[in-house]
Amino acid sequence: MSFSVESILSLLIFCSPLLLASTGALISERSGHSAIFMEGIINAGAFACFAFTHATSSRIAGAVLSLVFVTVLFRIIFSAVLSSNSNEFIVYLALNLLSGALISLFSFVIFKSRGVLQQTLENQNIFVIRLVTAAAAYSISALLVAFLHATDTGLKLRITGTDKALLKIQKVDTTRLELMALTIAAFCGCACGCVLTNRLEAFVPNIASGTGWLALAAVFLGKKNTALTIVAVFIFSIAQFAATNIQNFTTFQAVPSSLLLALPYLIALVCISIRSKS
Amino acid sequence: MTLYFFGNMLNYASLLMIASSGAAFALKNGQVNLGGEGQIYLGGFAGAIFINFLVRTTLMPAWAIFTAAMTGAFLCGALFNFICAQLKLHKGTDELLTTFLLSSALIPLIDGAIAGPLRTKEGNLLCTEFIPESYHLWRLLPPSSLNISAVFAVLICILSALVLTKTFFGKKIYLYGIAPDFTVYSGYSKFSMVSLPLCLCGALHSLAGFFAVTGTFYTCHSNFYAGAGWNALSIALLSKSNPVAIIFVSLLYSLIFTFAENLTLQNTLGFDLPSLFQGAVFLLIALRKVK
Repeated sequence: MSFSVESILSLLIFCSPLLLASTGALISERSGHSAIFMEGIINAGAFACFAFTHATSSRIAGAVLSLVFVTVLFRIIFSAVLSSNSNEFIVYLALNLLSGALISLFSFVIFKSRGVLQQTLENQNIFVIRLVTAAAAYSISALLVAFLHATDTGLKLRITGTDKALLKIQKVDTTRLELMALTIAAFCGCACGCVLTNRLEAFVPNIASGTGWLALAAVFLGKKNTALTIVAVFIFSIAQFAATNIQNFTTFQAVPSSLLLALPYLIALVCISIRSKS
Repeated sequence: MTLYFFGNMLNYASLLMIASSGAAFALKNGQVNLGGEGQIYLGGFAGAIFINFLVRTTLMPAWAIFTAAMTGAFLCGALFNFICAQLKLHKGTDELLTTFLLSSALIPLIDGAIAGPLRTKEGNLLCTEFIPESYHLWRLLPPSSLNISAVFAVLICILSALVLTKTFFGKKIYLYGIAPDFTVYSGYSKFSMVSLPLCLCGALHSLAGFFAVTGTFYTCHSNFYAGAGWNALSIALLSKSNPVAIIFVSLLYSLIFTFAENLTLQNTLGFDLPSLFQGAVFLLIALRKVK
């Protein structure tokens, strides 16, 4: 594998969905909530984006509508979770399960297929689409990082995760901040799904394939520090990029595909295992 | 509902009872095991492989091979959660995450093994070699899959209830679940308080998988566990980790699922109905009362 400009650009484009998802997961974690829902939201966002794109024949309209729809829907759910006495881990896992089942159902109802859904819009260059979606992903991530670190609300959001009592004493509505963080995470997850589906010009069942869990692992490995999380994202992306391309080399053709499928979860587990006790 | 579906309903309920009893141990201890799917799959896979391996390579009597394979499957499940327990003890990582991740990593690996080197040479089914007939559990209501493991399932539930309520070990588990710091301060080993209930949980899930293979499918086929782990957790949560209540809730759960599957098959309602139901029930259990 040579390190030409083209391959570096491919790698940067490859990193963009995970970067988006990790940014959302980071904001959620900093507010004190684990983004266990990320995997389900990525799948839901991807399907919604495909469906709306199919309906409107416009990628931009499809992405915007899916972002609004999925984010609002999950915001309602998060609001219910925050106001109830629920174990949010289990709720978010249930959401992941339900998301998969609902996607399969709607896929069959709308498109008469539970398999891969494909659509190519006219006069659109796939490389341009990938470049634009990657640029959008990086821009959104940069804006959110700036929001987290350079605004008053971002500061309060960070304090919510560590010293909520301090904010309550100052009569700051921490529930509103938590809901904001979760909504941003949902937005990022949905945007990640939109990037994935637009990149492929198709919707594949379980298109996330562990991206949500890798995002969480990146946050854990980066110890919830923004810069370290971004480094972790690039490390994971390089590992994934290498893993998906490794079978092109004769020496590694025997690497079983099942190992590649297990890779995101194994990486996440290893990262969690090697981080120091906090 | 025909006798066939009734028997299958009872059979599925018995598997859920075993797995849910395991989940109850973890829940009583204040821990949540989300790796049930992988543990059930692991138990079934290990059981099928051990039985075929021991039949081919040893001259042990059938009862000894069966016992050894069952013990092996049991220990595989215990080892699974032992790893997660150690990560919790030494790295402070939540067992919710580690059990789930390990399960998610293990499932494609077992899929790969079944589809690849360990696949049976007979037929097109993605499964391991079928276990010899002498290791099939006795059927109680043919042609349904209901077998003698249903009796063991009820016994396991009753035994779990006795352990949790009448033994010192059970009371320690419960105490750690409500006041972990007090338990450790009282001199009880944190290592055993965290590890033993989680290991027992994993072991019982794997035992459910083992009985599924030896009593129902006679082989470990790809995806045989589907949804059982989540259902077991839902049942344990619904029955508030009471193993006796688990018997009745499992029957109800299995009835609803079997009915949904029956409806899907007979009325071509689509294959999503059972999973939709599963996800919805799980969500509703998890979303408790509003403040």
